[in-house]
Amino acid sequence: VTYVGPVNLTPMGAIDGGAITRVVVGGVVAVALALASDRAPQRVADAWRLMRTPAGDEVSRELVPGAVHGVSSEALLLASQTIPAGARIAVVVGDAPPLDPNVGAAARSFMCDWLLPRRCVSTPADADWVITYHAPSEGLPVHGTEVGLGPDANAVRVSR
Amino acid sequence: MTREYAGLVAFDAVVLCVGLAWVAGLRLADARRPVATAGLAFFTGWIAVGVALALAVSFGVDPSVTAVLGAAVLAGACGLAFRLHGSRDGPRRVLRDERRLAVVGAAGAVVLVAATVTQLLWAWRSGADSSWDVWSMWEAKGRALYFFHGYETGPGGVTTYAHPDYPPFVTALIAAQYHFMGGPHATRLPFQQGLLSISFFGAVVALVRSRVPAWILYPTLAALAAAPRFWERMQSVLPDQAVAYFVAVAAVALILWLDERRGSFLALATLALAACALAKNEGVLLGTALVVAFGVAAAAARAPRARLVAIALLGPLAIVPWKWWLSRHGLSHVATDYAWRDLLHPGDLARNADRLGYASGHMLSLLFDTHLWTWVVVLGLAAVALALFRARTPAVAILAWAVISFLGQLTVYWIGRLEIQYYVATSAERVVGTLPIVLGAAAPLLLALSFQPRRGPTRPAAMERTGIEPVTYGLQSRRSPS
Repeated sequence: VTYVGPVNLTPMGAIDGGAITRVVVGGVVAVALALASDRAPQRVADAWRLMRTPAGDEVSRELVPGAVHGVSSEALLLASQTIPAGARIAVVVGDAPPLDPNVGAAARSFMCDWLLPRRCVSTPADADWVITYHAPSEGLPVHGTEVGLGPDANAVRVSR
Repeated sequence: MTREYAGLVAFDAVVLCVGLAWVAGLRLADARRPVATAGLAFFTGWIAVGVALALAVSFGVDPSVTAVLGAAVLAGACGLAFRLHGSRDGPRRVLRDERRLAVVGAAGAVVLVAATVTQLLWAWRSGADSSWDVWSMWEAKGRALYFFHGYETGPGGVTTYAHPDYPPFVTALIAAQYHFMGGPHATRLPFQQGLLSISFFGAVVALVRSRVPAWILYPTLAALAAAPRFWERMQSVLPDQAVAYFVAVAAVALILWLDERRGSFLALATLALAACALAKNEGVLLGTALVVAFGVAAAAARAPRARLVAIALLGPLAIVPWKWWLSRHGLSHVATDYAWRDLLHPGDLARNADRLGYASGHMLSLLFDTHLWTWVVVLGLAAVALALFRARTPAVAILAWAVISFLGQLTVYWIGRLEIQYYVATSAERVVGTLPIVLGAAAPLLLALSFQPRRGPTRPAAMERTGIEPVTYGLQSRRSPS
């Protein structure tokens, strides 16, 4: 005969944990159930409403993080179509026209991430392509062919 | 689109198969509860595949489809191997449900299902995770790992993103899913996290259901699932909530091990702690705190503490290959935001004492903020307090873990190098979230243990001391194979 474990023969509602313990545990469970039930109807209603609204297309859903932080989806899409995979890119963010510094930081990071497998480098001189975002391409330390990426964004193919 | 969905289904099927191998190997399957068992299997498979891939990545392997299948075969074989050497006991049924309270359990189960399924629907319809740390670091690293076929240190490589010292569990799993889907489809990651969240509840239910009546189990878990911060983060690609799941399952498994001494629980806890250490730097602290707390509790309970500590510590030690990889590539293998050696400078500590007050005040207010966690922390502490009367050892262990981990995280803020207001504002809410989740997951078991009659040492402990083999013990005896 092998050991199976301590087995209590009485059901949970009537076991010998003591009356006070039963009451307190019952109270804890009642509070837990009340807390859990409080928001459930609203969540179900919200989910039902969500399922009845059409979802956005796949690309715009991929670009949600950039859009949330104010980065132009148009610039990202055009950059992905213009710059070949595997190219080295540098992102130069300026303030013309004026740009919130948080949006500027997000633009640099999000472009480097979303444009993979293009490799992001820190200086334009090391790049095959330079993306200027709210920055005039005339001020770049490199020269090349310019391609528009929508309002306030350009891509410059660096001439060597 | 078809390849994307087919790949996702294939990846999840691989994870489930690995988990089933572990569940079968550890004899944790319960045929009476196939849904919960499937949840436990998916959860276990996720962490087993994740740990295998994180270790493989640390040795320069690309988490491609072939590599994932290879890692899955190895991980599954490891799980099945326990069947040859582990305990022959399956899940035990200790307490029977009270029928007149069935409606309470059913109500809790309905709310739990509603909370998790609605979140999964949100995850399916939502866009890519827009949290700054996700797209600028975690997902970006996974994407770079996918495109460049390994942890690369060159331009655009994984190490060019923030915190290159962060361990590779999450990034390896993201890259693996991208390989299966045939592209970097970040919109599918929240759904996968939602599945992991549901499987977390399945895992807890599968582990404790035979010991915890439904009227306690489901309402308390539903309270956790419905807490606003928990609910919102169920689909988060940030690893904080996943780390909390891993610690919570390890804690529940160690409580069960303390009571039953089945090696299966120790093995599961060790695997969860390995995932914890390989998912975030803080995971090492949280996991080690759990091993220390339960090691001390086991010593007090005259349990084989040396075995517990020796085996469970293998979990946090799983980080060693990753540290070796960092050193080999000339990267710092310690956190950049703080350094534990700063604790050796009393002058600096005294000068930074004001950081302690600021951080502790904010951490406590976040913990007990009912807009974030409703009353989950209070309920969890009430469960610990109740269990102190009838199940002192696990209650003390959980309480000790909570105190150690809170103080450990507070110490990080104390010795941190970032400006304290910024540091707390950008991380405290996520960091303290582990406590409510662990307390909430352990609460049902602790409440049930607080009901158990006072009794002498269980059979294994008695056997260790007396060497007397009882003929039967309990109601559900069965014949030995011999």
